Amino acid sequence: MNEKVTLYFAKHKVLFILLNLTYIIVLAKAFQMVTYPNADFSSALTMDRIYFMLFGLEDQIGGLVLTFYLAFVAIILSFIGGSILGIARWTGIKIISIPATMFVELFRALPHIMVIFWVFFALPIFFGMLFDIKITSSALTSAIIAFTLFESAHIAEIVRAGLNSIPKGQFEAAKTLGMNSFQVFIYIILPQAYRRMIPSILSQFVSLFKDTSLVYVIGVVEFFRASTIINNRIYMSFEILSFIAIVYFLCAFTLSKIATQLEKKVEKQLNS
Amino acid sequence: MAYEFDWTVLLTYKQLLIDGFMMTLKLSIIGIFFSFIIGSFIGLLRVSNNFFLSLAGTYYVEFFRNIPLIVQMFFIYFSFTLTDAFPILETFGNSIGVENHNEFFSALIALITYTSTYVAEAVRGGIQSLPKGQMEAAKTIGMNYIQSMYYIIFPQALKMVWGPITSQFLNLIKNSSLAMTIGVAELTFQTQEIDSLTFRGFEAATAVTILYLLLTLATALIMSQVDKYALIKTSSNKGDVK
Amino acid sequence: MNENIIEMKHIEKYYDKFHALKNINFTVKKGEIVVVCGPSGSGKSTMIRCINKLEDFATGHLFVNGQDLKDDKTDINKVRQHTGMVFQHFNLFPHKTILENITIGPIKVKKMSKEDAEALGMKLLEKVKIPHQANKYPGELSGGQQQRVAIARTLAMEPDVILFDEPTSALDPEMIGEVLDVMKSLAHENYTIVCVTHEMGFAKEVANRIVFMADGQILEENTPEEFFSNPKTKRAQEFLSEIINH
Repeated sequence: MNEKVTLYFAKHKVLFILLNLTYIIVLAKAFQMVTYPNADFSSALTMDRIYFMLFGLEDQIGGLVLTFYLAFVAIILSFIGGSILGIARWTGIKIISIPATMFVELFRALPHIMVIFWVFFALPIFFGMLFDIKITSSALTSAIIAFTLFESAHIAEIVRAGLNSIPKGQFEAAKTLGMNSFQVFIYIILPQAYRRMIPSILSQFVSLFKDTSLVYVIGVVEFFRASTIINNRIYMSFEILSFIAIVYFLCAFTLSKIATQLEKKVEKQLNS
Repeated sequence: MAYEFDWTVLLTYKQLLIDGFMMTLKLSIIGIFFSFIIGSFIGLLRVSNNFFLSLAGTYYVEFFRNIPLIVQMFFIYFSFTLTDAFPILETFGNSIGVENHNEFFSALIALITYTSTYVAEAVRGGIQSLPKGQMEAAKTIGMNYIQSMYYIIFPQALKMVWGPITSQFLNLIKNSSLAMTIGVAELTFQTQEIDSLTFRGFEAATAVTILYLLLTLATALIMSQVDKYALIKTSSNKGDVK
Repeated sequence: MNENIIEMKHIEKYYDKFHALKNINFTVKKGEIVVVCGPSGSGKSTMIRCINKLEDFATGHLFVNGQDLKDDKTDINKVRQHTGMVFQHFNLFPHKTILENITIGPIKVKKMSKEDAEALGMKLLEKVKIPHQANKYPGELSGGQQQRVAIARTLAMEPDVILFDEPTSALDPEMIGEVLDVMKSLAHENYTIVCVTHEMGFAKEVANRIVFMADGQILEENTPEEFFSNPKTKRAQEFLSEIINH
């Protein structure tokens, strides 16, 4: 029976998705009726509140848009930083690999929320002391710096694993063609390694996207913070938080499905 | 204007640090225990032959994985009063020396649901990476599904994914810091506490960083010892054991 | 009481659109030694894997020891206790010692006591000539030794019929002999055996009957003497000449 059901739904994918959606909506409604019968979504989620949560205030970037902005900027910067660190660790040249290792291990071991606090409160004081000037920090800049710090550490590990996954035969073959180490690295190793890393980096991006909610603690008005601001005024947390949970879910779920599809593509390429 | 370090505040306020560490420890130990059990169960659901059971497992994993942890914590804490619905939590909380039950358990439940999804995926990966012949051989000697899973499949899968599961436990310890946003006085919370009392955030953060490092290192060590002594062996090299 | 241990009637099997088994009619009596051979992809493994329900089939009847495998009320685990299988890739449990591999079935499934099971296990290990390996792990044994353990593991359940799925195909040539010797001794002890194999020497020596399959069908069934000297179908003739010339 199970085989028949599985095969049927594999063939009728659209029907499967629709049935799932219906089932989810029914479950959600049932959950709400049991736990929170007085939920009033329409009065909680007015258009201007939704606008605020998605886009922030009128003269600046905020809300969900800021969430994506923050995630994109951070992933690009961490990609650069993480590549440098990962390559540094992988080469095994002690002068650069040991500091890189220390950095990576430190920022992988620290809670992200601590790094965010650390950068926002401590770093300006630290640099002010170093250069004997007074620095004030903007919450958004601190957030970007903090994310870059710990995401680089995670990406460094992905880069290192990607480089390690290239079979030794590749080096040897390239060397026999007369290339020096540097050329082998740039033309043969790096392209292959990065192709393999794409799925991991994408899933790291999804993680980063979810982590943007942490900048709540230093006051950056991205999606999550925006919702708490509204909640502090109207005290309808069930409705508001349900809304952002659903939006986060849809975004993260879609992103991770895209990542899975890409992973399948990469695997196909590798095995062909 | 140079910043003058004053490390003595750490001694003056060491009780705050100890309290914070204990709170993090409670969240971590209970969180790790339950996410392991629930995660393993969900992982088993996911690999089940039954279409609906595996679909239920998929629902669980996708739902609790794609919603940020802090959102889950806020949702539970602000939408419900846990101790009204489950008075047993109050007794349990008292027995482990926790006073703010609603905050603590909201954070704990969210931590468990979130982390268990990653454990479930690891367990699923481990089971699916085993050769099919293992299950077939177990069936051939007459074992039913439960016996095959319990004696043959799960022990091997667990050994294989012990590393990734360890990572998830370390993640849980780090994620416990989010509990401070709903008022749980764990370790990161205490950094802010000390800073607000003494303006010595730098020193406080340093101390807390060291404590987190110690905690994660200790956990990693415990997990590797469990791997050595309690998990399955596949060779009889007596030199590796005791 | 039927003395047919296995009865397959009009078995049809599909993998999606691929017709893997076509009208298979196959009977095995108690004490018979049947060798199934044929080119790869002919469905030989699929057919014997239907016997202990590792594979399912679309239509037809399959009776093992009188039990109808299509009947939902049949407890397949009980049926499997009476059919043993030896796999091409051994499938020993790597996290159990050799002795544990053999005793786990009797202890957990047949509820035998540990002492009885271990005594039985040691006896079987002596039968397959590796009693000194009892406390080693599968990873520490050679392929031929592992396969002999796999045979002992099957014997420990005291099956009514032993199914062999290309038991020597994954072995280095010098180890094939030791496994075939064990299988031959089982043949002489009146076990009922169905063996998928390319080892024609073994077939000539001990088989009562040869079943030749190709493209999902049974094309020929005969005694070994008749089959090897007088193959009736063209496919069988091609197959035999290929085997002999290698």
